[in-house]
Amino acid sequence: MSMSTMTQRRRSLLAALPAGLLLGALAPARAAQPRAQGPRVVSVGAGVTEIVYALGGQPQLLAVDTSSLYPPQALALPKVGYQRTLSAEGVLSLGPQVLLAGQEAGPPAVLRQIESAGVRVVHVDGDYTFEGVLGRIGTVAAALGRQAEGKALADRLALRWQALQARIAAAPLRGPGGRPLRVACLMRHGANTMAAGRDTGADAMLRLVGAVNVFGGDFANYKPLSAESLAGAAPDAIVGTFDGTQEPDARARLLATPGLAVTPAGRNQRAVLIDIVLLLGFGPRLPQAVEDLYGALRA
Amino acid sequence: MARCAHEGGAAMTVSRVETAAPPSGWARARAGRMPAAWLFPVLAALLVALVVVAAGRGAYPISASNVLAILLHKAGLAQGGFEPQQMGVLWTIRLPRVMLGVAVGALLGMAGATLQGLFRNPLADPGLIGVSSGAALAVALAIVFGNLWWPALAQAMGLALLPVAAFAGGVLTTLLVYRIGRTSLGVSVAAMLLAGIAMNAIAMALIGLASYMATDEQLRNLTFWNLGSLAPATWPIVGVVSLVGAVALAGMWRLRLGLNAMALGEAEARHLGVAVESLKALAVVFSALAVGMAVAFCGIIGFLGLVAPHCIRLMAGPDARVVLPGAALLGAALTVAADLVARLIIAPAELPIGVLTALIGAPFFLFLLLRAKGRMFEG
Repeated sequence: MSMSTMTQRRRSLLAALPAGLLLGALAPARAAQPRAQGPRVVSVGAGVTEIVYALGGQPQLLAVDTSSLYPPQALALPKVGYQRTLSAEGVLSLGPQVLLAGQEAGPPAVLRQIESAGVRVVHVDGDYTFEGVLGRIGTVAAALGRQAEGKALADRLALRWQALQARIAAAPLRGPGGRPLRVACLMRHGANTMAAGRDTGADAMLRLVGAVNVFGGDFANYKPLSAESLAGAAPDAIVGTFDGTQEPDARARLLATPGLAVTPAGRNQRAVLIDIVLLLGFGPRLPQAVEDLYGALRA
Repeated sequence: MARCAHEGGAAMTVSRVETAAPPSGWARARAGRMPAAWLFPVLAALLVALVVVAAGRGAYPISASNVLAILLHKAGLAQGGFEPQQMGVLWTIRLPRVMLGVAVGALLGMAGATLQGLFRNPLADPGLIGVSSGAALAVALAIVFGNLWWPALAQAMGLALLPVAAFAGGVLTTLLVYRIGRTSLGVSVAAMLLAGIAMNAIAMALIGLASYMATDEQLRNLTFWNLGSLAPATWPIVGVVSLVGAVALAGMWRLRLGLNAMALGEAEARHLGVAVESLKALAVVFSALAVGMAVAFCGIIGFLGLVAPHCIRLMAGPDARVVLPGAALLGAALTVAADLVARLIIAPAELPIGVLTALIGAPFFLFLLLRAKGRMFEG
């Protein structure tokens, strides 16, 4: 999730304050409880929510966190707030039997309070790999009581994944001289450009499409990037992200990143944009994300 | 009265400076002030009312009769009449939170009053002697490097890591500031103030460095810690904060007469027989203890320490005997009110309380300020 989303979210929060002051005090939220088979759940984490929908679990879904932007139906559900600052009473007020807690759900003290009030907290963990996605699908399917759907989804994804891997292996991404394509993944945070280092979802995605992260050996996590270090890294292509809808001048702005002009990527205008929720979701859309990124970098 | 200023013992060797109201700008605006005899009943009633409302309202619906039934059940006076989960929410989540709000608000309010008295500076707040920035720095280091440098320690401490780091960081930084302010002639308040500003700058720079090294997740944790929250409240935490807080509150209350004398000036206080050096030391220790407790469990709840004493001063004058307990009561009331709004406003989510203390406290403060300003020119 980019910094600009956070600022936007904060801004909209602030805009809602005066109205909320009135309404919030008058009408404490009490969600209608849908009649559904299986336990009612609150889902926290973009990838977790996507899995719930992919398993057909939406009738059991009471609420999601603010990072759950996909599928669009999720936007209409009550929001339990930012995933790392959940409210114990807020979650409990929705009456769930299970809280599906993605990796970033917290704070731990609140998860403990929710658990002590009799709600099962299911941690949906796993790494940035396809196997990690399958593991999360299994965890969520078991929590929802939808093991059969989970198995079917996993099988479907595995088939697609195998075909995709074969396709990538048959026509790997190459840079000049036949070496693997060197790519930088950049995210704009206000005036700053942040680059993805190792141990990031973006780094894992680059590896999955068979490209090399130019900053993978330099640093971990996301770091502000200077024009000179971008020029020095000399990527063959760059990947930028957008949030939800792509602005018309997004690609031009990405290409205008300071330092890019002197790199092969800048000279060849090789820049691709991808939806950040799709790129970093590591949910059931992982094969699609890999396919999109691979296709865009090939073109 | 003319006792030696350097005799040891308590700071309150003075007994007759009670009428020594400091001649500050606001002090001249006397007319229309609330008499102290009214102030405390009004503030206490406000606090009690807010506690009752805060206990009764929340994202999780519990009717007033069920709240009563649960409390009677807990007191062993009645049985049943509510769902078990309602009791869980009220007793393990909501009530400790409200009580922690009372304790933390009182501590921040009175610590602010004490420090403003000590520094004779209306801009003094707990941030000025390094408690907040020291705590923030320690927390930043614990969040970002805790698992890197001492993984075994970080693991073993678990949820206690941040409170311990915050408390230690806050208190140690304050003692360092105090130590820097010490001269051969005693502690220089001005040097302490400047040292506090320098420590703030150093802490902010190191926090910036830690933020640069932090992962996305660590950065967010840090940001939200800096906005404060009463959410982690449990009964054991309420117990610890109340016990330590009671010591700090009592300690600050004992300084009231000395602070009144200090308002006339340090030399004047000394001539009045106040053991000025011990007053300074005790004021710093007790306010660091108070703010350290608050910061340890709730992060940074801004603005309260600054504004609660001012509001009392605008309402009832600058007498420390009124301002100290008044700021504690008002601080508690503002904290409970801010937390109530934080819990309700975007339910089932909630806002960080630090956003709301300023949003509720500042307009109230401005209102009082505008009224007092009018009076100053009329008078």
